[in-house]
Amino acid sequence: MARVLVVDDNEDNRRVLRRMLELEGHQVSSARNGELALAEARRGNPDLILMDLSMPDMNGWDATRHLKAEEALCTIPVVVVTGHLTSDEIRRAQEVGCEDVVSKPVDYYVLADKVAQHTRVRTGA
Amino acid sequence: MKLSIRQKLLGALGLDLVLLLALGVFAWTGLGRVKKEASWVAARSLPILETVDRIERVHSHYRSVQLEFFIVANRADKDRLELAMGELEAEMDDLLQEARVALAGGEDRRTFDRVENAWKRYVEASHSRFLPAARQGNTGTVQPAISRLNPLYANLEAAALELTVASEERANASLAVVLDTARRGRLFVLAVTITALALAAAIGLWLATTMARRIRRLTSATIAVAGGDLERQVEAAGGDELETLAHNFNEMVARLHAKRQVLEERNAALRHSLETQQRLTDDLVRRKEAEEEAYRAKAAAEAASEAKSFFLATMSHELRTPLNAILGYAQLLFLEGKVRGDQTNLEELGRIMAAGKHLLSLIGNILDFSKIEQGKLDLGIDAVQVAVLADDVVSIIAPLARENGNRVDLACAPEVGEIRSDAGKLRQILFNLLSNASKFTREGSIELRIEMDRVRDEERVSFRVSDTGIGIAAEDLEKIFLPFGQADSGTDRRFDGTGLGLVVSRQLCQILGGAIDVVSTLGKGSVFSFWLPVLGPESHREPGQESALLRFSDEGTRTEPRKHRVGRVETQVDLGESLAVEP
Repeated sequence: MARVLVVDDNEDNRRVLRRMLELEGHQVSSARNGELALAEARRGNPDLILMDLSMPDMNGWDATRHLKAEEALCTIPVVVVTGHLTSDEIRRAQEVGCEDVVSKPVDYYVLADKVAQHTRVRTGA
Repeated sequence: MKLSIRQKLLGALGLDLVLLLALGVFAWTGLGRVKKEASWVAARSLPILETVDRIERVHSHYRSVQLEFFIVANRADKDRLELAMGELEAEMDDLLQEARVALAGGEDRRTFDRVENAWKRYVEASHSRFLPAARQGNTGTVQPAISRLNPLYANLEAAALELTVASEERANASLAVVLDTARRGRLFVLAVTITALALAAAIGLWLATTMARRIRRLTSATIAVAGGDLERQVEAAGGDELETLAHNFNEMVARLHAKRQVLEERNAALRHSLETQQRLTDDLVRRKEAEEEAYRAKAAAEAASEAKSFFLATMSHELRTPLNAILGYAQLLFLEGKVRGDQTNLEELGRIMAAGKHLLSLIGNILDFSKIEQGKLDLGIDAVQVAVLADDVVSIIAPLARENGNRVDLACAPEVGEIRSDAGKLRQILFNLLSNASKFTREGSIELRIEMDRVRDEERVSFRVSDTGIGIAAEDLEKIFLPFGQADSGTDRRFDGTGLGLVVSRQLCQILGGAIDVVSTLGKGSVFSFWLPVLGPESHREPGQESALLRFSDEGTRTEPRKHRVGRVETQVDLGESLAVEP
């Protein structure tokens, strides 16, 4: 079991991810933009963050940059969940410190694999 | 006779000089004659007249002294008078002597001789007959002496008068000669002068007129030539400088004419060349304009294309967002149903997922098409498990195929393993070909066969999608790979489709380093086959290119079959299996 923070401005996406992760037995919190995600991360100290890129107020890249700049949060793996997989966007995501990427529409099995992979590393399981 | 103008002018001047010289000579001789006559008169007539005059005065004086001698009684007076008479006689002798020398002869001489004789007789008579008596001092003798002397004296006077008259006549005659000579000389000089002037004038006029006329001709010719009339020639005659000038002028004009003709020919050639040049320039300008027009059109087309691509990309993204939700919820419900053991809606949920993935694929085609057109397609090259991927696609396509009563078979050779490629794009190609086959086949079979191949040291994986469908007419085979070129002439648009599937598939094949081909028989079916290099597209083979997305790729890294333990529920869920259920 891991604590996963889902960041997405679309409610359906948040809901689907939450339900899928809960089905896998994870504990899920969510935020609808980068700023709220930062606040939630500081508060809840999750094991993994699933980060959408295009969001209002603060986008995924900026949020990740802030996360990676904070000592307390910089070790939390950030997995990008995005609908438009262009190499440019992925490169930018890598540059700001994202660990991995999952494409939309999210396949349950892929998601489960990625989450397990990254939380295993972090929790040392 | 050839004479130069200088010679002619010098000749005319010479002639004038000769005339003037003749005039001078004539004038000189005429004046000489006048002078001679005048000198003669002066030398002859005048001294004689003077001498005659003195003779008259002397004998007149002598008579008066003689008379006094006769009259006076005083001895002393008689002596003085006698002396005086002697002096007068001597003076008279001198005069006569002088006159005789002066008179050359002729009439004058005879008249003079008479005067001398009369004088001599008078003096002789006086001395011989009257003076001695008178010397006795007797006045009574005076009267008779005088009376007797009177005839002699009258004789003398008459002779003297005659001489005077003769001399005067002679002088008058001489004067007349002088006057006549002078008059004739004047007339002659006048005549000669007039003649000389007339001749000089005539020569000058002739020369001036001739030359002026010829020069005028030349001048008018030069004006004509200057005005451009190079046909003009002037008469060359006269044998002088003007002839040379005229000759040279004609020659010059002829040369000018020749030169002008050459120039005109060159000019014509030049004009022709210029026209050609102009034509070429015009062509060039037109071409340039056409090019610019084409460029503008191209730019506009590109802008339009860009706008279209941008629109397609945006729309695809917008379409995918709700589709994500649909697919996510469907899968969630499907899994939850499985977990709960509730089978009621599993098939329907599976169909929703299959249709959603189909829709996703169609949207993917649109997105890829627009990206390829813009040259912005990104490849995520990574290791791809071909068999797993093919199985996945077939499982998605199966429900679609079964709608038309078709059977779908996957035959993957065991040696087909891992290749380097873009899993998403390969999935897209296979999906397009399989869904196409499903679409155009009814109650038939569709097969995907995957084998290893080797062409010229290159390892390839070849994919063959064959169906038993309606096939494609030969003339449509070219069209099917063109955008929006669905072979609708034969299909009557009985089938759905964006018409992009094959286009995108072919482009993706090329981008992935392979190629696609089709063989078809109308009414019997089609075989779409394509191959991909095992090592991936050449542009992605360099060591540095070792995909940055390797770590990042989701589908590509998934090497396990689609079997997964769903959390704590520990239920095996196989989507492919569930979809394989017969309708």
